[in-house]
Amino acid sequence: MKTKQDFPSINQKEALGKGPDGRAIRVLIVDDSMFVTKQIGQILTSEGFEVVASAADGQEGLEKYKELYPNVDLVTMDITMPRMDGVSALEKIMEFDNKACVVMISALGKQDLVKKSLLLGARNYIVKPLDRTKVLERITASIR
Amino acid sequence: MSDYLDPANEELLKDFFLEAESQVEMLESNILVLENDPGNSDAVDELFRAAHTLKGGAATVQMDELAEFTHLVEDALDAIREGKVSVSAPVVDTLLTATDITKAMLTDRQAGKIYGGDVSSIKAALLGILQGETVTVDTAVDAGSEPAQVATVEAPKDVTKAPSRASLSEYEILELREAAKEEQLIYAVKVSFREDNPMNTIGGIHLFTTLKGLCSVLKTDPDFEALYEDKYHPEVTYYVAADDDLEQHRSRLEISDVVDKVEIALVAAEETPAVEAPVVETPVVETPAEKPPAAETAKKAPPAKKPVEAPAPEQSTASDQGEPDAAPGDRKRGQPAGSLLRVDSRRIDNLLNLVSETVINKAAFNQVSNDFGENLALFQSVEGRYREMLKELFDSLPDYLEQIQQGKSVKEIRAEIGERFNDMPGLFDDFEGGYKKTVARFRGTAQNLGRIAGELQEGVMRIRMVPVSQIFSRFPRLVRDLSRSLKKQIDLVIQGEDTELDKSVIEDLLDPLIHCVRNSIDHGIEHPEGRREAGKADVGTVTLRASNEGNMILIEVVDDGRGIDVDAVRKKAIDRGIIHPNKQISDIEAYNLIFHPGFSTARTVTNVSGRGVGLDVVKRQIEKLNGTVTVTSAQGSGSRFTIKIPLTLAIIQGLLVKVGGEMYAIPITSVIDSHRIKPSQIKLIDNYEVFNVREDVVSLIRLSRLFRIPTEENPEYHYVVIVGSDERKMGLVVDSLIGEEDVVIKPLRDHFTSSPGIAGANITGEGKVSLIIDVSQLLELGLKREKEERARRELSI
Repeated sequence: MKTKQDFPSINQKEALGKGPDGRAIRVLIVDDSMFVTKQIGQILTSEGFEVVASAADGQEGLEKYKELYPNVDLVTMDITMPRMDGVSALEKIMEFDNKACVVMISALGKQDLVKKSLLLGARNYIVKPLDRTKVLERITASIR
Repeated sequence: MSDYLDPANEELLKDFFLEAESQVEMLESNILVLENDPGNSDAVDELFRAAHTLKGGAATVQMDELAEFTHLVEDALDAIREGKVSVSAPVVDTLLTATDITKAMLTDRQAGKIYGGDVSSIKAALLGILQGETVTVDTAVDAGSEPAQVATVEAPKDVTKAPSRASLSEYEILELREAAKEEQLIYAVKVSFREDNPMNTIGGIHLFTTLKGLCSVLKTDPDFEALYEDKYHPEVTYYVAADDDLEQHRSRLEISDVVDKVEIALVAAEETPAVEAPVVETPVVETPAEKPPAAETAKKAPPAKKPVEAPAPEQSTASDQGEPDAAPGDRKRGQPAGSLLRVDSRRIDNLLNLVSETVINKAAFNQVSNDFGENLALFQSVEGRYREMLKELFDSLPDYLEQIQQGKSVKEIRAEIGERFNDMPGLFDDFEGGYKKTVARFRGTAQNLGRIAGELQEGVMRIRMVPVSQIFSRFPRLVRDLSRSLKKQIDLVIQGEDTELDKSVIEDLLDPLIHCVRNSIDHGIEHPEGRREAGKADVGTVTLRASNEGNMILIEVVDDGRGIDVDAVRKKAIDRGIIHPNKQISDIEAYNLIFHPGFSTARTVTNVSGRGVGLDVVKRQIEKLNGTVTVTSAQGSGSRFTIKIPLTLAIIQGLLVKVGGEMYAIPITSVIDSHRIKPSQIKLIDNYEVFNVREDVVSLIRLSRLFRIPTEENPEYHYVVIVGSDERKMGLVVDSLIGEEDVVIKPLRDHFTSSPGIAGANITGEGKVSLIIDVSQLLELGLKREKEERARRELSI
């Protein structure tokens, strides 16, 4: 995990997806929509992130996280999903690893769930529809 | 604001609520007095005083909405007091509604919420009284305010409140200081949020969680609950305690898209005295947002006033700082306030007196113990001498024999022996006398101890005793409202309100009692026309009476209404299949059918009573208190509900019985009688063990089988204790009866609580534990269990 102390000032030109040691930041994308998964994936890989896995529901996401751990730095988590929703998955992930860096992806109108997630330990949230700068901004802000 | 109260202040709040309750009660009763006697100036004075006290108290504990509201009430009452406004029915209604709202505000505050119901119409009505005009008011009161409405009240558009919110009182700063660790710095982080964010309502929480990762959030303004509402707050102030300089984390707080501006300021705690001014003047060091590395300035801001300026080396991680303060909302919910009890100081004095007697008693016991010790020493020395003499006697026997052989006469020798050992018979006299004296003294002291213990027990019980007026006082208002809505004229008579009852009992008594009174008013008392036809006065009377009867208390609800129609009840019971059509039942039995579940004789359903759930609930609740409820009635002239409950729940008379090696206590109130029977007298009917008592057949439960205690299954005799009430009884088969005893009920905790058939435990005189049997549960459970057991045994054979 990155720690706040030893993080050097970022050169804006540098790829956002590189950690302080120059290693790519590894991302797990959890979303039931293929389209969104792809979209996030594209945005992130273009900035040098490495998408290590994706999952189609909370249950799968949780299992993948446990499987990958500790070789995963960031999770993007959709809120509304079949089988296990994002909030429960987040809760389980935080139980498993309380330093997990999870960013929630939410549709408009799910304010209460977003609040709940933030209180459960989500680092940040992104509102759909996704837009490149917003996604990057929020995600880089949360991995710092 | 009540989040960060220290324990001392919890006390204050408790006191406030206690006092407020009595003020509201006073308001209510005096308004009712005023209604009947509009010219009663004493009542108005009382009212005014009560409202005034309430207002003052509310302001002290910073319940602004309550203070503001009661202020209006006070103004209205002032106008009445000065005779500017005459007391009319609408005025009374307005005042009563205002009282209800006050009550609701208090209840909400007690639950840690702020009343959010709409008070504008009642406010208008109160102002109307002031101006001498009467406005009718919608009397519906929003009792439990919804959280959503809280937000409306909290809305920052309330301009007048805004400045006061921004500042912290000296006390609040002190509170913050106490909540923080000593070496921590307290910051006020004022954050403005962007409104154009599509999810602008999340900002408050978002920042809250972000801050929590950096430092401990002590307090937010508006408070956490409000932040959690689905509502946009343009500006939120967070009060946090941080180990290091918060400025260095500024970038993390300025969440793009969400946060507009962050102002971090230091709250200096040590300089607080005499500060009441708004935030600008409080010793808050403003660090403008434009200075990015403001670390230097902020560090110097609290100059020298912190002796612990040492660079806090333990840069404790975010998560463990977050732990101790958790979410502020959790705190107030987590603490159910223990109820306060007001006790006559004489009762305490009496206890003290008894305690001093116990101390004297203890000294007496010490004395007795010394006496016993002395007696023992005396006994030992006497015994020593006795043995010596005995030995001497034996030793000298051969000599004497020789002397006899030499021809000495026996007579001579006897005289000689008698002389030599003459003090031997009286050797123990001293000891015996002393010992007798000590034993007598010991008995006396033990008797004294018994008396003192008894009195102490009674004294402590008496502390828990409160007069029933505590609940009776709610009824005038209830009856008034009810009679109005039902358009009946009713006079409520309350008698014996000084009768005292255990506090725990009284609290559980209110609901059943309300039900009975409602029932009397709704079903019993006729409409004025009906009463006139029946030749009665227009005004019906409902009497609420409490009295003592031995160690039971008797509460009666008597009405002079139409009484219970026995035939209708009987018919209905048959229709509903509650009783068999051929069954002959007495009138008394028929009356009590109304306590049967699913029974309601009201022809139309009203919102007052008559949904068919009611009197059976009353019965159940009263039975839970180990009491009974019965009804008698005379058609045409009224009915009477009689509730009988034990004075206290903590001590009961119990019949101790033995089953195997175990001892059980059966509450004596549910014991009907006991028998000694031969095993041959037990018969089997339809797989049930039964036995004939006079003309009745009673089914039997063997406690040994029920509780799986190994015991002699076929002794010469069984003992059977018949328990239950007249309609449902059952025989408990036990090994032997021990006797009656006062049983102090000790509640069972944890996994024992779920054991069916057991009400609690008791410690007997020998220090053994005996379980107390819950008869009503046993009645339900017994049959089922016994049958299963038997089936299993038969299978295994």
